[in-house]
Amino acid sequence: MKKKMIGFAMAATMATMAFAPTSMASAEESYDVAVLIGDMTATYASWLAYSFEQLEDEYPQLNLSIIDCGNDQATQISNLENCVSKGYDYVIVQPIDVTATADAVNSVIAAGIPCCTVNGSNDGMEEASSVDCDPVQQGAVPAEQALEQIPENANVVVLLGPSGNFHSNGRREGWEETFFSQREDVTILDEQIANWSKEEAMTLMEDWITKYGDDIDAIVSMNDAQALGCLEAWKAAGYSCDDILAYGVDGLADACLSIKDGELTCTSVQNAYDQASNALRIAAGTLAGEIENEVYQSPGELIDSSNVDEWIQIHTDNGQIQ
Amino acid sequence: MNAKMKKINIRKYSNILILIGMVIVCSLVEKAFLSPNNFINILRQISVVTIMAMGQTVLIIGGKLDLSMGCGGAMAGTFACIAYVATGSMTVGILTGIGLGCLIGIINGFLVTTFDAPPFIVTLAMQSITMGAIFLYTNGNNVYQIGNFKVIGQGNIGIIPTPVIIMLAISVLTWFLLSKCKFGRYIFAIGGNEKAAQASGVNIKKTVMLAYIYSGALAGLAGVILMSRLSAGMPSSGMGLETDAITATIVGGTSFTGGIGTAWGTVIGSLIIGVLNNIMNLTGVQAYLQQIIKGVLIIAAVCLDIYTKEHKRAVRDSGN
Repeated sequence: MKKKMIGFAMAATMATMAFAPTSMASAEESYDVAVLIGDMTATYASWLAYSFEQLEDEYPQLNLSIIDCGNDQATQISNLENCVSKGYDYVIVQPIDVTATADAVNSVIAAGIPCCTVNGSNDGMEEASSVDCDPVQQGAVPAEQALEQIPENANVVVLLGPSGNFHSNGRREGWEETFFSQREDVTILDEQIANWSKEEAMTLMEDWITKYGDDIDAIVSMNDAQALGCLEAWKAAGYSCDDILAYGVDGLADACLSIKDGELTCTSVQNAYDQASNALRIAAGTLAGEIENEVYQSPGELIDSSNVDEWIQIHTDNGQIQ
Repeated sequence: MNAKMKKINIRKYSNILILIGMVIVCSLVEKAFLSPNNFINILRQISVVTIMAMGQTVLIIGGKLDLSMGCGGAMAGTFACIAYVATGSMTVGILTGIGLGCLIGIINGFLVTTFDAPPFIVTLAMQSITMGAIFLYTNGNNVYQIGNFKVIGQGNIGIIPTPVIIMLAISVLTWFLLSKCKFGRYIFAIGGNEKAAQASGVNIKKTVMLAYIYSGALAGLAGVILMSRLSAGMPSSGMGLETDAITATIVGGTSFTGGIGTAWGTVIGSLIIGVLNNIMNLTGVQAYLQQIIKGVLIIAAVCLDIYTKEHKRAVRDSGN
């Protein structure tokens, strides 16, 4: 008997919780939007989450709930399922893994809740809207600069992200198309995985310096942290950053400060603010019945010494630089 | 006692033999390997993990474990950067790091000794708590522009990098604690047989608590060195270091079931992994292949170590 009552009480509580957002929404003619962030501990994702918070005021009809998925695919899928049971009106999701998230997003759409992916494509969930950045284009941005800056017959080292990573592979493809296929005079001394990690890149560079010394002319990295790790090792070995070119991708605070110090050559930025802003624009448009869905490609932008001050200001505003 | 000493010596030698074998092979394969600079590189690269591994060695000998070291160290190291940036004092920065490490150790030790909670779960939970705490404080951001804080991780004393000197000092201290102090004897006794140790009057709670405080302090110190080496407070950079530290400890001949191990064995274990990573980078072994080779060599080192131990023991026993 006691068990039954507890069960009933739990069911009642859950039912109340499930219906609460929907009933409030209809009363005030506003919409509840869930924003599922992949991993709030990642610098880019926290900039993304911050941008959503900043932009919320521009859309008074949208009530945003920002939810962290803790970089765990299973958590992200159950969070998506919870979005249906809690009756959100719109779901914005930063997929941890696009393929693995697609089915869960499709179920949300099937339950009548429109979705938009952000910082990830809508492959396999084509009814969802999507705000993303093309990694091939992101890689091509610094590669285009390198085309003119890297001297003839130069020796370069290449650093990749985690094995099989979608962004790392795409950026490498951009480098291949824009730079390596055009510059057959350039020698790749070695190409290794540093798992996006500054420390692992430092270790690699220390070993490369042991072997090649100052024969290394340029560092080509698929993200900034790895390029910065290499530069730390380069400086520690007693060389000057004037004697080496270093290219990254991401354009977060650490990279901007390094460009400002004359160390990193350039990077391309995936503008989180632009992505959040377009995701909310699409959400508001969809909820107002103006659009059904939309695919928006946020362009990768170049940051180098000519415009770095502007970006340092942006990162100061979003709290990355204190 | 004499028999035990003999056993430890045999274990120690088998690891050194593996390391010497590796060094010989590496110097034949790659001429850059034998340069003094390269040895300094290897020592610098293993220093953070080795310092953490010293804490793990003490705990694992005592039959315990600390999975919170990587994240706890990263938290302590990042707060050390914050404290340094705020005050401009190196001492305050370093003490903040080590102090926070001790605090994590005290909490781990309290939970393990008072509630008899399994160290695996307690420290796994602490891993999550420490990571959450630092991200909550920094909002997921890194701490940049740490100025002179770099010297701990990047400076040199003579030609030897500062982290290497700290690593050697900690190794000597750990050796001293384990072999010359009552604390060390108690730790071996607890790891060998906790009930027997209790029966013979060892204060288990106090000893385990001290072991956790020691490992926490070392995690904090390692975190400080790591952030200083990276020139930034990067909370996410410590993740996974605890497993590297455990690997170095076990490859170094410490028994995962407790009761057996040495500080120098752990240094050797750490060197074996450091040399392996170094030679693969120097010879440009393909990235995916590196991961497989690393796994295979760790298994080989541990199996060979155990086999040698068993074999020599069998020879000795048959001789009796």
